[in-house]
Amino acid sequence: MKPTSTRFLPVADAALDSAQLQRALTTATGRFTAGRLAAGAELANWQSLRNQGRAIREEAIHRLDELLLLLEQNVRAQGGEVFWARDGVEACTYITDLAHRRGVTLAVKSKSMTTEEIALNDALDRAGVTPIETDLGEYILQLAGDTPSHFLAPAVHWNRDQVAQLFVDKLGIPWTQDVGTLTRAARAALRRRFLEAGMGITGANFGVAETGTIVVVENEGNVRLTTSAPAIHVAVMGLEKVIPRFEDLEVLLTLLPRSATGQRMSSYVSLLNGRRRPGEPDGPTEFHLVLLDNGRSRILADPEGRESLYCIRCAACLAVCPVYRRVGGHAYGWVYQGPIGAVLTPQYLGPEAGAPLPFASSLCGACRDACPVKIDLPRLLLHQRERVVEDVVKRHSGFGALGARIAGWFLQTPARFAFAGALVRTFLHLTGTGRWLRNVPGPLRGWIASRDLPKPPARPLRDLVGK
Amino acid sequence: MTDSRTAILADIAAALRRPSPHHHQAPAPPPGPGVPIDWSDPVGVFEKRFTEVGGHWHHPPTRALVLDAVLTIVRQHDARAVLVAEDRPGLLDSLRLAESLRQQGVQVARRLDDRNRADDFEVMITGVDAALAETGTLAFMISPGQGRLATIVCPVHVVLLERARVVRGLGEFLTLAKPLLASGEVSGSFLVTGPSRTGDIELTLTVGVHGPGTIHVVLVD
Repeated sequence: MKPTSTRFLPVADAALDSAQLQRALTTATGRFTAGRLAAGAELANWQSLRNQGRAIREEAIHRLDELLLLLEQNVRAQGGEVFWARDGVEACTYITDLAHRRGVTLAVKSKSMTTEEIALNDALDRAGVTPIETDLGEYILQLAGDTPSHFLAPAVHWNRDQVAQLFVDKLGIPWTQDVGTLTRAARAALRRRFLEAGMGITGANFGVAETGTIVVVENEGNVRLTTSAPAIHVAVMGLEKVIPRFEDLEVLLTLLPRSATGQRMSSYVSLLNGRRRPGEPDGPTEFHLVLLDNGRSRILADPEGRESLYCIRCAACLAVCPVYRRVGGHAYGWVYQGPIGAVLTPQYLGPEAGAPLPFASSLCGACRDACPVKIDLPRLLLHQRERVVEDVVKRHSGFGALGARIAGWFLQTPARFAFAGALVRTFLHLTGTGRWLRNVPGPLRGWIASRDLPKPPARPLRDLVGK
Repeated sequence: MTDSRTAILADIAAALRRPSPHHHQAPAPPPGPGVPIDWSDPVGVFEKRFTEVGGHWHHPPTRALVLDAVLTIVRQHDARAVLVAEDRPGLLDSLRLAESLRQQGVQVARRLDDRNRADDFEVMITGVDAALAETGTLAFMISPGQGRLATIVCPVHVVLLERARVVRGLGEFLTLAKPLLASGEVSGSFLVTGPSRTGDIELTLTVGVHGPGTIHVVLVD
């Protein structure tokens, strides 16, 4: 996916003006949060489950190399292939080469943000392999040439009338507002594809090191078909998704569905140990696990920032974020949205490409309270703000250094500081009469445009209390 | 390939030499009790939670009446052809289910030999390896007679459940499944909770997307 995060402000502005999007966001985020709260409240041990979940993810990240080697060993022992990809190009090339070697021209895909991250569909298209998204939301977006605005509910910005018109145009069905009919039309269109496809591509929610089990969570059944019908199954897994023990799934599979959709359990959880065994009547004859780095080891190298790797992608932080709830997902301009997206995007793409995102937060902390693995998102957002500012200073080093030198001179003695204060006070009182600052020049104007700032008093506190 | 592997592992090792300042390896507290559940009747708990996620519950009073219950479901869905799996414990065969349905004029296949004919079958009938009471979840291990498609491919799924297969929750299921998966004896296992569903259009709950829209459990005493 081509990042457009630097255009956060204009896209957010447009979102605020769209009544339809505002309705969709309010309804969706309200329902997600209500569901999560009810599903958590049902368990008296919810808080200790969160602590446990966090401890499991923390342990996994701090034993990452050891656990990945164990996962690799166990996947190989059961006949699976493991490919380590440093970046998206390596991952995409491995998959398209595999498709070529096996003569695959059609691949079915389940929803996977990791594959969005590396633009796998574009790579497949270029290589002459047609990728078909089979999750309903992703299918809608693929037909429309649109991008996800929510990593759990990718088409949350679409309403039924738009879907109806799309299906009339692309699937040739009669126009209907009935969601059931629209869903059945997608089912019918995709049904043959599962059986025709030579390759099924999924993401992975967890990879269990101890047993070599890849766990995929879903509701529609498209993962089930994607991993049952085609002869080849390829799972693309971000390497932070590894967990140590099979038993850890008890905690994580309790936290994830309840935090994501408010379900006690998602409709389908697939625990997959590779290719079909002798005697089994169906299932893939080949299994390939692609372990994707693509910046994750670099994030790991930042001790202040690595906590974002604990994320289990439930999207609870999106639903509670007062910014996401108004601006929607497209403003974030990449694969991950909301508070976690505002942290991950500059981590993955660099501080310049993700610059506005960490500032798109009031740091209210609702995300931290909602996170099932207690990621301290406000701290991570502040850390990313620091990195963005450091980057700006570095890129404009002459200007920044001069400013810092001037500020440094004024801050050196109390007298100079008092003099600077007097200058600013005098200047601000020259901007007009009245209690509030209204007419100010330069960068201050933008700040004043949406806020009230009283003028400084005629005598500063320092004069009142004496020297 | 080996290059990338070596490079990634070296990057991770280098990264981990810088410990996180927020890293505290405090052991997690043990899980406390959830909302009190009356475990004197785990089957009752399963029934409640299974029906809460949209499942249909049937409890024929005797084993002899199980066939009638299944036949009623098959007729209710106007199914002319059904798939009857060969479940690992052999419950379906011990009930002579396939033969009895055939005698009633229902076309029965024991496995999907031609996948292109998948849509001919309206109903699939299977056994189940465990039922998780806490979440109303059915757990299936892949086996030679009951593969991957056998629990997903038809619009209607009928599951014959023996009372003894009901367990409390995920923890007990994981204990059962771990040796089978870790040893490589089976290639996978599936947890199924209610019908196939989506909320991708305006968060409107719609069942029967790619998997069954209707799921029945028949309790076998």
